Amino acid sequence: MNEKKNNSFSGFGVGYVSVMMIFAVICLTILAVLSFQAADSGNALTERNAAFTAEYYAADAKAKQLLMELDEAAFAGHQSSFFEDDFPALASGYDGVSVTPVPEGFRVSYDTAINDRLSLSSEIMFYTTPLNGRRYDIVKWGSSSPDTQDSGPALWDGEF
Amino acid sequence: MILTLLFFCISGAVIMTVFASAAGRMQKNDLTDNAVLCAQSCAEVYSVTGSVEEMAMTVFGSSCEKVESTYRIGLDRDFRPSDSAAVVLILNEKRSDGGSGTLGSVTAEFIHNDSTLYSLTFSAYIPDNGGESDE
Amino acid sequence: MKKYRSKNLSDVLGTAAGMILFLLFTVCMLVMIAVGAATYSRINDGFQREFTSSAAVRYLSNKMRSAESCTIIENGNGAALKNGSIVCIIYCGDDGLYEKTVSATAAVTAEGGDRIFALDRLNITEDKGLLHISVTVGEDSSDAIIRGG
Repeated sequence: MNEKKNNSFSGFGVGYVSVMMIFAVICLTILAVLSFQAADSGNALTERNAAFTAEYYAADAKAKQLLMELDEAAFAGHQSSFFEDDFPALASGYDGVSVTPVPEGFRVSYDTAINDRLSLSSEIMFYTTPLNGRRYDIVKWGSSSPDTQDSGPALWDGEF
Repeated sequence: MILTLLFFCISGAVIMTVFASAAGRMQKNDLTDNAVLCAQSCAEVYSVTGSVEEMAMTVFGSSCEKVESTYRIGLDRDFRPSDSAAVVLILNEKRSDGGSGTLGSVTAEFIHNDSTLYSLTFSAYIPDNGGESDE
Repeated sequence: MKKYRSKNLSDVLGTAAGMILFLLFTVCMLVMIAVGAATYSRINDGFQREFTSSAAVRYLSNKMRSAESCTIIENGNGAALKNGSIVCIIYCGDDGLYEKTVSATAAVTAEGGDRIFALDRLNITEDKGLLHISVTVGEDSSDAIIRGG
C-alpha cells in the first residue's frame, strides 16, 4: 500500500510538460511558416519587378538600335541632299515603322513590345534641314498599353 | 521520455532553421530590390550621357575603377560607394560606331557573396554632330 | 507521528519543487514563443516598410516614363504628368502618396487626390534633364533617377 502510494504520487507528471511543449512547438511552427511565407511573397514581388525592368530595357535597346539605323538613313539623306526622297523610302522599309510627312520633315513612329501587355512607343521628328545641328528630336519615348494608347481613361465631368 | 525530448529537440532545430532561412531570404530580397532600382537609375542616366564614368558620378557620386572595358565599383548595403563592399557592381561596355553616331551597350552585374544578385543590359545612342532632345 | 510528519514535509517540498520547475518551464516556453513572435513581427514589418518605399519609387518612375511630359510641383513634393489631354497629379500629402487625374485645362493643385501609398516624404528634383526621386517611409528610403520629360 505504501509502494502503491509512492508510485501513485508523482507530483506534476511528464504529461503536462509534453502538452506545454507541443503547444509551444505548434505556435513556433506557425510563426516560422508565416515568416517564410512573408519572405517568399517578397521574393516573388522582387522577381517580378526585376523581370519587368529587364524586359523594359531590352525593348529600349531594340528601339535605340532602330533609332540608330534611322539616324544613319537621315545622315545619308542629308549627305546626298535627297533627304525628302531617300529617307521616307528607307525608313518605311523597316517593320512596324510608320512615316508621316510634316512641314519640318518626317514624323517617324514605331512600337517595340516590352511584354504581352505593354509596348514602348517611340515617336521621332526627323528634320529635312538639321535644326541647330540636330537631325532629329524625340517627341515621345515611353511605355504604353494598347488600351489607353488612343484615348485615355474616362474623366468625370462633375455631373451625375 | 528520451524519445519525446529528441522529438522536441529536432522540431526546435527545424523551426530555428526556417526562421533563419526566412530572415536570410528577406535580406537577399532587400538587396535585390535595391539592385534593381540602382540598375534602373544607371540605365536612365547612361541613356542620356552615353558615358559610364559620367553615369557613375551622377548615380553614385564617385568614380569607378576601370580595367580595359570593364568598370568596377564597391557598394555597401545601402548601395552607396564604400571600400568595404557588400555588393560589387561590374559594368561591361560595348560600343559600336555607326556613320551617324555611337550605340553603347552596358551590362551591369551586381555581385554579392560571389553570386549574381541582378544583371541588366541597357544601351544609349549618342548621335554625332547633334543630339536628341525631348519636346 | 514524527515519521509521518517528515514524510508529509518531504512530499510538500517535492511538490513545491515540482511546481517551481513547472513554472520555470512554462516561463521559458512563453519566452520562446514571444521571441518567435517578435522575429515574425520584425520580418513582416521590415517587408512592409522596405517594399512600400521601393514600390512607391517604382510606381512613380513607371508613371513618369509613360508620361509625355513631367512638371515638378509643390517644391519637389509632387509632379504633374501630362499625357495628351489628361494630367495626372501625384503628390505627398498627410503621411501618404496621393494621386488624382484631371483634364489638361484644369488647375494643377496638390489636393483632393486618392491615397495610394503610406509614406512620410517625397522629393523630386531635376538636374541636367534627369529627375531624381527620393521616397522615405519611416527609416527606409529609396531613390531613383529617370530621364526627364
